[in-house]
This record gives sequence, C-alpha cells and structure tokens, in this order.
Amino acid sequence: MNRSFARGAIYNNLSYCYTYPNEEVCSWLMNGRWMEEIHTALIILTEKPEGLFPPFEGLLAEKTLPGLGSEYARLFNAVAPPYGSAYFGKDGLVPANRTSELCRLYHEARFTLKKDMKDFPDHIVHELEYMGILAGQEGQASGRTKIGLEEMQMNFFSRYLLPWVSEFCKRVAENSRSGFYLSLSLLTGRFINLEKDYLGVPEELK
Amino acid sequence: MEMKYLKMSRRGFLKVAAGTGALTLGSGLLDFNKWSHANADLPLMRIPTFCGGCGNRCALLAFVKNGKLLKIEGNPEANGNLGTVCPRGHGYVHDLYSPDRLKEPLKRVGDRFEPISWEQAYKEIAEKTKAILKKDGPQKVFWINFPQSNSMFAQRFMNAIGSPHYFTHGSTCYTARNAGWAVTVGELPSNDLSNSRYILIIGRNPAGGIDLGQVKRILEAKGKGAKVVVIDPRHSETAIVADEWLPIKPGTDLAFLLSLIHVMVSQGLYDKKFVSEKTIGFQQLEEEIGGYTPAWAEKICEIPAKTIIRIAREMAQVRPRALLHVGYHAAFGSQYLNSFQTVRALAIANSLLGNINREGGIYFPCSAKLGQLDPKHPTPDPIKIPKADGTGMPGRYPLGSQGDGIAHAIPELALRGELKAGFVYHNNPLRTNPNPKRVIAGYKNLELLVVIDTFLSETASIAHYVLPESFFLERDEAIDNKHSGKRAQISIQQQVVKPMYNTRPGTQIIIELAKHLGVGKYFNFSVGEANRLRLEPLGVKLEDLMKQGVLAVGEKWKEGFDELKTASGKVEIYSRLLEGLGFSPIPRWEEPLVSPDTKDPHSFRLLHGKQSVQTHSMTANQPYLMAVSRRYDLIRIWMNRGRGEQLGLKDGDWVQVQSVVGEGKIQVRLTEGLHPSCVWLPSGYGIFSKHLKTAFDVGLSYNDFLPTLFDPTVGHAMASEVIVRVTKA
Repeated sequence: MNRSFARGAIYNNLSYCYTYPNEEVCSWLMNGRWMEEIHTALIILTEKPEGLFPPFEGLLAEKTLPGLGSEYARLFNAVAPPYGSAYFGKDGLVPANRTSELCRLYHEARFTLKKDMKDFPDHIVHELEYMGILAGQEGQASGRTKIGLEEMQMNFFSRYLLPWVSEFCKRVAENSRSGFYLSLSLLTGRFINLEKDYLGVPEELK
Repeated sequence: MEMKYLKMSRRGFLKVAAGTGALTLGSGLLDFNKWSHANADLPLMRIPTFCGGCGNRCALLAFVKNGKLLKIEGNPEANGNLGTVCPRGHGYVHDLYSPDRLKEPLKRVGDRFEPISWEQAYKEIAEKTKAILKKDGPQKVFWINFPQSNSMFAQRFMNAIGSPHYFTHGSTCYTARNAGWAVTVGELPSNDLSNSRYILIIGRNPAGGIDLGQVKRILEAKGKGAKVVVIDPRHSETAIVADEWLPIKPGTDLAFLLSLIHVMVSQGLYDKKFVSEKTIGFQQLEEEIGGYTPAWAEKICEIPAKTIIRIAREMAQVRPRALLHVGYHAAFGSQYLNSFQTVRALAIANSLLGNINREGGIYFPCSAKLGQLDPKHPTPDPIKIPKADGTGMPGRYPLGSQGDGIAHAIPELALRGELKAGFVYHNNPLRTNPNPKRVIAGYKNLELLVVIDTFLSETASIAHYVLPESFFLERDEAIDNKHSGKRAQISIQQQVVKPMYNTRPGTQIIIELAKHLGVGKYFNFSVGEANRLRLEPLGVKLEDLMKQGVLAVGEKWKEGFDELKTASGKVEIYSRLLEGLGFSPIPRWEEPLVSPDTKDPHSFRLLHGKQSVQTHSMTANQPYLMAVSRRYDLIRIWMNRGRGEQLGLKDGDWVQVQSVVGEGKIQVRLTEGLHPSCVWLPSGYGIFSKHLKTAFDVGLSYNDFLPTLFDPTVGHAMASEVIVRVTKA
C-alpha cells in the first residue's frame, strides 16, 4: 500500500465516523476494523503513530451506543457545528457563496453530491470523504494526472478543510460528553496537522 | 493491510460523466456572471424594510442593483431578529419573481376568473357591499387579516362602515395565552432570556416557530451558564439546544405546572416578599394546591415526581433570574380545553419566583406609543354592536379577544346568514381554519367574497373578486411598533423595488375601498402622511426612519413595578373576575376534552407545529422552501418508533390517517423524539389550490382532521383536541 491509499483510508474512515450513528453506523463502529485500518495507515504515514492514535477501546460498548445518537445531536447541532461555513460567516451564518463554490469544486472534479445527501456540501463528512476520494485516485494515478490530483488536494485541504477543522475539533474536545467523540476529535486534529505538513499550503495562503 | 478495506464505496458522492457536470454548472453560472458583469459598475442600493414572510416582521436590509433584488440581510439594529434572517425569510423573497403571482384584479364569471380594471372592481364591490349594508345592516360584513403593520387601517375601515366584525387568525393561534396572562398580570409580558439563569420552555419552539431573536438570546444565556429545559411531547428544534428534554404527555401541562407550584409552596421555595406585597390570593392557592403532589402529577403528565421537585428547587436557587417561557401556540395558545387555566398556572408559577418585571425573568417590554391621525383626520365612532361570534359576552366566550374575534366561527355565521359579505386580506381561512369542508361551505355561502392577496390561494380561488396586492418588497406600508423590548423600537416597511405587475399596496387598497364605499372622509390621507402623523409624538422624522429601517425610541426599561394593569393592581393568583363569570378563580386540574383510546393501538392524539422553513400555507408554494422540505423529508407525519413498530410500520411507509371529519394518506417518520400517545403533523402542507403549482397536493394539513370546536372561556379552536386512527395504507 502506498502513502496515498493510506491517507485515503484515514479520510474515508474518519468521514464515516462523523456520520449520524444509526444502527448501520453503530454496527460498523462496533466492528472495530476501522480502528485497525486507521492504525495500519498511520504506521505508513509516520514513524511514531502511537502519539497520534488516542484510546478508543471500551468507548463503544453496547451500553453506550444508545446514547451516542443524542450526544451526536447535542454536540453537532449546537456546540460544534460540523459545517465549515459556520466558522467563517459572522454570527455563524452560512455564506451562500462559499457552499456554492464548494459544489462547483466537486463538479470540476467530476463529482456531485448524491441527491439523498441531506447535509450541506461543507459538512465534515463530505469534505473528508472528498479528500479520501482524491487521495485514492492519486494512489492509482501517475505522471501529470498524479501531480494534478496532488494540487487539487492541496488546494481543497488548505482552503476548505484546514481553516476550520482545528476549531471544530477543539469545540468537540471541550464539550463532548462521549469518550468516543472526544477521541475522534483528537485523532482528527492530529491527522489534519500531519496532512498540513505533508500537503503544504499554497504560497498565497501563507 | 488488505486492499479490500481501502476500497470503501462512495457514500456522499456520485461520479459525474466527464464534462457534463462542469458544463451544466457552467451554463448556470454563466447567466449569473453575465448579469453580474453587466451590472458591475452600477451602484448597490441598501434599502431597509421588514420581512413579510411571517408575523414576526423581522427587520431587513434589502440590497438592490439595477432595480432587481440582489440579496437580503438582517438589520443588526432590530430587537426582533438581531441581524439574522431565517430560512423562510430568505426563501420568501424569491416569491417577488414567482410566475404564480397575481398580476391584475380578477372577477369571477361563472366558474372562472376574468381580468377587470381596478376602478371597475372597486365600483362593483362597492355597489354590492352597499346593497348588503342597506338591506341587512353593517354587522353582516366582516374583514379578516393576518395581523400586520397596517391592521389599524383595516380596523378603521370596519369602524367607518359600522361593523364590529374585524377578525384575525388569533382564535386558532394565541388567544388563550393572551387572555390568561391578561387576567393574571394585566397584559402579555415578554421573556428576558439572555439574562436568565434558568429557562423552562413548555410547549414553545422558538427555533421552529420561528423567533430568531429568542433563539439568539437563549444561546447567549446558555453561553453564560444558564440551564435550558424543554418540556414538549416532541423533540423540537429548540429541544436540540436544551440541556434537558422532557417528553410530556400531550394536554397535561397543567398537571405539571400545578405540581411545580405545589412544590414551590409546600417547600417554601417561593419569593415570600414578592408574594406578600405584589399578589392576591396566595392563601386560596395554598388551600387549592395541596392535592397536586408530584406523585399525583407523574401519573398524569408522565414526568417523574423527582424531576418536578428538582426543577422547582433548581429554579428557586436562581430566582428571580429564572423563568417559565411566556409561551405562544402549543399548550397555551389555542390547543386544549385546559389551555386558559394552563396559562394562568404558568403566570402564577412565574410570580412565585418573584420574577415579574425583573431582570432575567418575565418583563413588560417598552413599546412605542405612536400618535393618532386625529384631529387632522376624524376617527370613526367606536362600534357598539356586539360581535355575532360571542366574543366578550357573558355566557358565551366572555374572555375572547375583541381585537381578534373568533375567526373560525365565520363559516358557521355565514351559513346561518349572520354574515353575508367578507373581505379577506393576506389570510387563507380555507386552508388555515379547522374542518375545511365546513369552512368552504360557509365562505361559499357569502353573497360577496373579496380576497386581497399576492397569490391565488384556496380562499382566493372561490372569491367573487380578487384584488392583487403588491409583494411586500414592492410597497410602502404603515410604520410598526411590534418589536418592543428593553427599549421600544419602531420600524418601517418600504418599497425596495417597483411593482412588477398591476398590483397595489394593501393600505392603498383599503383607502380606495373606503372612498368607493362613501366613507372616504376617514381616509383623506396617504400612507406617508399617516406615518408622519404617527411619528410626531416621538419626535422622529420619517426620513430618518426610512434611512435606518429601525429606530429606538423612548426611555429604557426599568426593573420592578408599582401597579399592574389588573383590577387589584397586583398579580391575581385568585381572580374575582373569573369567579364572577363562573370559571374557576384558581387554576384547577382539568382533563383534556378527548384522549386516545388506550385499548386501540391505532388511536393517537394529533398534534401539529411549525417548521423553520414554512409559515403555514403562506410559504408552501415557494420552490426553494419546498425543495428544503422535500430534501429533509419534512413533510411526513411523526410517530413514536415503538408505537409504529407495534403497528408493523417501517420508516417511510404510507399510512392512512382518519378523524371524525377527515382522512388522508401520508408517509410516516418513525422517531424516538415523540411521546407515544400522539402523532405530529408539520404545518404548511396539504395545499389544495391548483393555482399553487409547487405546493399542490403535497402532504397533509392538520386542519383536515380538526372538528370545529370553541373553548368556553376564550372561544379558541382547541386544535389538539382531536383523536385520529392511523393504519398502514
């Protein structure tokens, strides 16, 4: 497995972790293979993966799962909106041009959000999944295509993900009543920092 | 690691065929870009106004370029919305450019409409109205409108022709709440949410309702450490931000409140100084309240006794900076047989906290005292004829609101021949009143029905004449003092863009109707002149208000009070007024009128409520808002998941809903967020006017299932006193 696939795997798994914990998602979380997958991928990305991977063991017991949905609603509806635009507009308002810009970007990469997707295009689930898709494509590409995909990732990451995810993770970590979401936010924040070093930031944003 | 783990299927994204996605989007953007470039050098005008998307009248800043509306923002100076605009406000402005808008006056000819000139329409309407006035008397004519800034002109019009029959939709919305507060503390107060340390919200949903100012203030209070508790059968949009949600059994809020009062009194948690100095009837309350223990209430309202005790203690710890929200529609407004006494109990519980007109409690907001048109323009004499609906009459609905009337009585009065001509302005009773078959029969029985609206609603569809009103962004209207607060504010609705069609402003239509009916002497003014006269006592120039949109006037709110506007000048825990009218002078437990059949698994109480994206039937035809409703499955009926599974239902199944007056099919949403004894229908759907192409035949309206009921104190519609049977379709 190359580095791109490893990054893609982490993005994809993190994305799924941030979806609403319905029965299907809970069963996937309980299965635990996502943890193995992220851990394995981190070994490829860094020499010291231990410090990046917070403890998840015991946080997803059968008895805690029923409360996960209400914690998700409390946390992400009020305390830590999982939308990029909530962190940019004044008073938390959604700047419409930002979300339409994001849709255009998805379209330019020949992707569109599925019609039954009921969240804004700047939901963390979509932004992480999109990065996962690009990283996965990069893993299979070569030459100019590969370079192009790297640039797309750098641009998307630095303009749309990086500016708000740290604040989002901080709010989750400070307010979470669930050990799972606390650990998830720590892992996300650390991975985003790792990516920042790897992908870099365009000159004009420095 | 095996590759199979890495190949996760795409959950949120679809691959678009090469080129097509970008092209499709590109062409859409190109049009906007073209327009944007063509107008790039033209000035951007910022015109303050206020929103017409619901009754809140939130102050807006409209941005206009080359005569077209570019966007809206909330006016940051406004008490009511604090610089924000809600989804329906954003969506509703697009109706300015809707192809479904009314474009010219219409006259019914047989079963269809024909265009008619304004002058001819006024002439014919005046002839027919005068004939009814002469033959049957002025009391046979009624007017109904949604409360708005120019309501005073409509009331003036009715006074001028001599009819007492001016109505709003109040009896289907809020009249019990207003009456309960007025009897207890003299007037309707407000909530000092941002300064409160404990906010208990019973059956009110400002985040769905929608009151943006309240939502921001609740969040501000939370940010300062306040606790927010929501008691509601449904996990509402407001419950999402609460610290605690308590799913109460519908119709039993009175039991909860009586028990809360019991704990406050029996455990000495109340403000003794305030009670002794500022209330009357505490001793009678002590005697009455003894039996309403938390254990008793738990059996009725299903909120655990220990929770009731805890809430009473928590509130007492931070009083007077603790409040029970004043309420609006559900539980208090017009829902149950016991709604009026529930409000009384709510007001009494607040007064036991000593929070009346206190910082962080319940307060009497400052409201601008606007001037009169007298003496320059004579005011018509007040009407002495009693209302035929029984409002304010002992033995009928003695505490009904004179200002609102009992609008859902109109169809019965029309069928009995007590009303013969009606003017319906910015209101759609055929869709928003209970029991539509009866409403249609009543309104069709009128000899003359004139509708003033922007779209061909259900009611407009059966009218004899339809007068098209200019959209709210196209017209200058009366100044408004609705958004009272810690300091009074006045605001103005003014023209943002020129009218697109042959339409006229509502106030102009009222003035012109009056002139044609021979009562023009009371209407020898323009909106502009009336606005200037009303601003005079405030020392405010109309031009300044037009420039700012919102202005603060008068003195700031002061804590405390000497005398309330009640007969005793104090909080009337015991009401001699109620005693004299034959009602319980102290709140007592009263069962709801009807209850679901516990032996029938298909039996449910039907509840309803607003969503943040729709204002009843008014916005349902707006394509953007309907798209949001569809995208988020907001049209479905809610049912408790456990009850649904007992009936063999799965989420999204179609169900048949049936009551004593109506039936319909709809998809079900199974959820843990609803009390098991009820189902919940969102308001705004079930449009049956074929002229409203976007909304036609989408979802159901709760009104389809409601019988026509009248509460004995206020005459409100008791709109949650209905049992439905729900079966798999």
